[in-house]
Amino acid sequence: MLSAAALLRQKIHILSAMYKKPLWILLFALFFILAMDFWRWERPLQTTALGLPDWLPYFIVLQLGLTTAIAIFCWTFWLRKGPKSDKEAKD
Amino acid sequence: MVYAIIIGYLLLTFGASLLGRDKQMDTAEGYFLAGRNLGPIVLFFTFIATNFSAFFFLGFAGQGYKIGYAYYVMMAFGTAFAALSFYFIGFRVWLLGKAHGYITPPELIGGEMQSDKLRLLYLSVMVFFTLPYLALQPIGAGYLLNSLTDGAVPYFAGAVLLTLVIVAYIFIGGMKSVALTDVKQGILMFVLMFAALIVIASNYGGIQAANEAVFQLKPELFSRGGGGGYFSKPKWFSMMLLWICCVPMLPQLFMRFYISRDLASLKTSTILYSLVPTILFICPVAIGVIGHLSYPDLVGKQIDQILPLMLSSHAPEWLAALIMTGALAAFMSTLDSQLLALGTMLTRDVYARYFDRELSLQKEVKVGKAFIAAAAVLGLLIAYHPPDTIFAIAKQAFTGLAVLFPTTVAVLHWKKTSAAACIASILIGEVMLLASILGILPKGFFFGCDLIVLLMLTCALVIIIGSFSSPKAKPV
Repeated sequence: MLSAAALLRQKIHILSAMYKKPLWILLFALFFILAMDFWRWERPLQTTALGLPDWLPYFIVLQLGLTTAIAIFCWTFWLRKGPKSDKEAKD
Repeated sequence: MVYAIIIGYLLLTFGASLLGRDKQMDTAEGYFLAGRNLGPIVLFFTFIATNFSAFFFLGFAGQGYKIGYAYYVMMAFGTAFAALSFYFIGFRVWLLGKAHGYITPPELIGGEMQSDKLRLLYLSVMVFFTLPYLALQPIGAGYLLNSLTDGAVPYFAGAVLLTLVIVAYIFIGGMKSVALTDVKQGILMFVLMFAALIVIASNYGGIQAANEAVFQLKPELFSRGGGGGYFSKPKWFSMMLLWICCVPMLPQLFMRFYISRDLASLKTSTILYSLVPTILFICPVAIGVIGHLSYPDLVGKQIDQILPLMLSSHAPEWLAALIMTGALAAFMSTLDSQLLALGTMLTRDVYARYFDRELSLQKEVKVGKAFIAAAAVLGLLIAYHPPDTIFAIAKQAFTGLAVLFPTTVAVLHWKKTSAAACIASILIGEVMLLASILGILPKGFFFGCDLIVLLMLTCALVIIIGSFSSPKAKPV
């Protein structure tokens, strides 16, 4: 069991990592690479739920993961970069 | 019933546009950019309604029929990934627009680089590749109205009628009217597309039963490379790259980065824009795939008719008409934004700079309306008797616009960028595209990839080398 202070430190560590630009570039590059799923193009065809191809859920999960990553990106990294008002934007 | 639905839809559109009329309409920012004051919901809907043209309704179903589910993944993931450009392009555009009062994309690029030549070149590329794409909208709308009314409304009369409605509501409230009608049109697209899939699939015992029947009939539509091996691995990579690079370069989308009220609105739109394709794009593609059960032998241009054909076979007349009105909404929401973008660029970047430098704000709006009307007439003239080349140019429009991508990124993010390097990058990119269209550059000669990969590499390299060797760097 982690103490409250250790948990807080852990949270701060995770949050500070979220503010690092290279981390985000790497993460989004990884999503792009994962969309090139060439390793399984030649597999025999099968269907899954709703009669859809069995490779389709992989992409739905990948896209939902991408949206989640974009949401976290917007709430953490981008949050710090944006001006709070028009005046600040003009400055 | 069909007429009542069409008239009801057009009245609803007109009514929504009236809400956009307000006191700011006499200023350029008020008319062209809705006073840079759109909140998250309206901004999000105007992004999707503008980007998802009638191609989303008719073209996706047609490509689903031809290629299968691989097409859904390509379009959905490519579009979702393009949402990242809202940050690395849109955010900077929004900030610079607020700081310097930029209204058009060429204004920003030329203004930041202090180069009239670059601004004019950027403008020329945007106008050249937007016009044929714009003309495709009245062409499609005319055919659709003709088909909806069983030929009672002739093709060209339908194209003129819908274009007139669009021009009227742009005149009434400019960008704000366009954005408000986009909300209604966006919601219509969402709801009706789901309704279409459910109604059609229910005729075959549900989505699962329908898919399993198609799988027995045409298993290649479920393959990773698509029907007829449409996607090779290099082509898959190329098309993913194309969407990321071309989506933010469409002038009607680029200008939407300016109109966000605040950062929160832009961020909310970014998140939702990345989510929507995953949910929505599966519907038209699935309808196209299921279409093989009723129409197994469509070829050529016939495949784009699969959605209306399936609706006429499997849905009550009123519901089919209602769903096709959603396609009409998709046409109109793209055309209105294209007209407004072209009118704004021609007013600000041509008329105000070369014909009347003392242009008052009120007169600027009037001139803008004249250019919007002129662009609409030009679109209709092309639509009256569309030359074969229009489809070829429209097909290349995305690649032609994507050539502007390296320049845009460099201007927004790299202080060393020089105007000369950007001009060289755009010129070389467009010459390469022309060479490819003329067959001088053979297809797939670059590791089997589409031209877009070589274009992006070359244009970026030209900017880097040019900026280091060019004597005049961008002022900071």
